Amino acid sequence: MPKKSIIGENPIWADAAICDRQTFRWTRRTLLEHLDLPLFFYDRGESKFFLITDFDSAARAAVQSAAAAPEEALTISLYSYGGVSLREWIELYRICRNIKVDFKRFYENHNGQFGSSEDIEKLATKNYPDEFISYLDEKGINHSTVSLALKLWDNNSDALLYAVQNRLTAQSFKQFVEKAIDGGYVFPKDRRVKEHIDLDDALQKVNNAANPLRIHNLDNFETERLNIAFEVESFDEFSAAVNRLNAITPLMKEFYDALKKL
Amino acid sequence: MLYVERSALQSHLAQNLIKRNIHFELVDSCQEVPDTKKDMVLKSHIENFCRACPATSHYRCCNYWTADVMEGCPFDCAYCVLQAYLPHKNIQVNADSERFITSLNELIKSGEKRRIGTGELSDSLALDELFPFSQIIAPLINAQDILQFEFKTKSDRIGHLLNLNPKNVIVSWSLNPPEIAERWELGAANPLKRIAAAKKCADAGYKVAFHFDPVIYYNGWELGYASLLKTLFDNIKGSSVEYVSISAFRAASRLLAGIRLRQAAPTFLNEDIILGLDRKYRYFRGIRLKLLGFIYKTIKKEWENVFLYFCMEHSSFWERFAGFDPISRVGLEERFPHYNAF
Repeated sequence: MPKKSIIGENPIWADAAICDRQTFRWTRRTLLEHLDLPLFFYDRGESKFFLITDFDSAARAAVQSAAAAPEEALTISLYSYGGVSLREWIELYRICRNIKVDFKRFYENHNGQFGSSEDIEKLATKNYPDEFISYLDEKGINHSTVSLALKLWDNNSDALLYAVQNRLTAQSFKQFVEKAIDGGYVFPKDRRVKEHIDLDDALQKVNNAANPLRIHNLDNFETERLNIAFEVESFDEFSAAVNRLNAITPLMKEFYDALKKL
Repeated sequence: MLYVERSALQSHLAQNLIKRNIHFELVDSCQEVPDTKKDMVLKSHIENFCRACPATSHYRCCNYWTADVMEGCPFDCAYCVLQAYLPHKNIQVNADSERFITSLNELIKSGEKRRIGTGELSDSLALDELFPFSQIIAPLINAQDILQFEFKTKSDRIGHLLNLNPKNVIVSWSLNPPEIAERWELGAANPLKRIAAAKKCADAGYKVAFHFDPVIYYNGWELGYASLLKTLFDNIKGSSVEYVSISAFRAASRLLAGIRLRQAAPTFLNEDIILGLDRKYRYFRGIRLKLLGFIYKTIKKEWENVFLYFCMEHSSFWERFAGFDPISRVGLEERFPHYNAF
C-alpha cells in the first residue's frame, strides 16, 4: 500500500482528526508503520468518534462509522488490528487518559498481556529509558516478568541494563530477573579500586578471626559503622562470644586504621 | 522549533517574541509538541514557581531554593539529572512571568534571607536571548536585600547581564576539564569560554561562583582539574568569587540506567561506584576523598577567603577538609556570605 500523508489531502479528514492532536499524531505514526491498522479519530467539537478504514488511498479514505462511546471506538480499532504491542498499550493508556476512558477496565476487558494495568500506567507515566521499553516490547516479555522487572528496576537497574544490553532471550530474561530479585545478581566485572579491595580484605580477615561472630559493613564504607552479630543459646555461648570479641580487638583497630587512611 | 500555547499568547514573553518577529507555531497544549531537545514551548504554568531544593537524605545540603521558570535544557550533558527527573525531553518555558514576580515578592516579604536560582531545572542563561528572564529578574532582585539570585550556566551567553546592575545577582558556571566537557557536555560552551565569560561578568562588577559538580573520575583527572583550576586562577580574582561548590558524580538508580543506555555510554561509569546512604550511586568514598580533597585544597591555597562547600556530601568530608561539620541544612546555609553581609 502506498504511504501517503493524510493531512492536507482531504479537508474532511483534517476536520475529523484535528481535535485531539496527541491522539492524531499517534494514530498517524502508527498508520505509517502498520498500514493495515484501522483507526479511530475523536472529534472533540462534535464529540464523536470515527472509525476510519480503507487506506488504499489516503485521499479517498472514508469516515465510515461513528461510534457511540470512546471505549467502543477504541475497541473496534483493537479488534480490527489484532495483537497490540506493549508500546502501543502504553500509548493507549495515554489516549484513554486524554479522552477520559477508564484504562484499567479497558485493559482488563481486552486481556492485556504485558503486565497489570498498573504496570502499563507506570511505564507510561514514569521516565523509563526508551531502550528498556523497546526491549520488553520486542521480546514479548510476559505479564509476570514485566511486573518483576519493574520491581527490580527500582532496586537494581544495573541488573536490568545488563539484560537489555546483552539482548537476553525472553526465557533467559525471565530466569535472570527472578535470580536478580532473589539477590543472586553479581556485577559482571569487579571495578573496585585498590583501597576498596584492601578494606574488604581487612574486614574479611577480621571476620575469619571472629567466627562465629559476624561483622557486616552496612553502607559500602560510607561511614565507619559496622554491625556485629552473634547468636547465643546459653550464658556459656555468650561468654565465649564476648571473649572472641576481645580477642579480635587488635584486628579491629587495624581495620579502623585502614578506614581512616582512605 | 518554537511553540506557544494558545493560552500563553498574551503573556509578556510571547508578546516579546511577536515584537521581535520570532517565528513560532501555536498549539493548544504543550502535550502536542514533539519531545526532543530541539523543541521548546512557551506554556501556561499553574504550579508554584519557587520551592526548596529537594536535596537528599543523610548527606549535608545547603537549603537552596529554586525558581522553576523553565523545565528542560538545550544542552545534553551525559550525567544530567534532568534525564531522569523530567518526564519530557523538550524545553517547557513557563510564560506567566507576572506570577513568577509575585512568587519572588512573596519570598521577599517573608523576610527570610535565601539563595535562589533558575539553574536547577534548566540552564539559567542558555536561552536568555530568546526568553530574557535576566531582564525580568535582575531589577526586582536589586531592589531588595533578602534574596540573592543565582544564574547558573554552562553557556557564555551573558550579553543581557552586562547592561544590568549586578547587585544581589550572582552568575555561576559549572566547570569540568575541557576533555570531559567535549565528550560529555554536548552543546555547552567550552569551559575556557565559560571562564572568559565569568571574567567579563566579574569585570562588570558581578560576584561570580563556580560549581565543580559533578567532578568526574577518569584517567588523568588530577592533571585535568589542576590545569582547569590554574586557568581559573589566572583569570578570576578571589575577591570576585562569592562561593565554590564541589561534589562528585552521583545518580539515582533510574538516572544511572538512563546514562548507561545512552548511545555512547560514558566510560566514567566504569569505575568503583557504590550505593550510598541516600540510595544514590556514587564513587567509592576513597575516590571521592581524593577528587574533592584535591580540588578543595588547591582552591583554598589560591583563594583563601572564598567560601567552599560540598554539595550533598557526607559530614566526614566537612570535618576532614573544612575542620567542622555544619550539621544541618540551616547550619550550612548560614555560612554562605549572603547571610553574613549586612
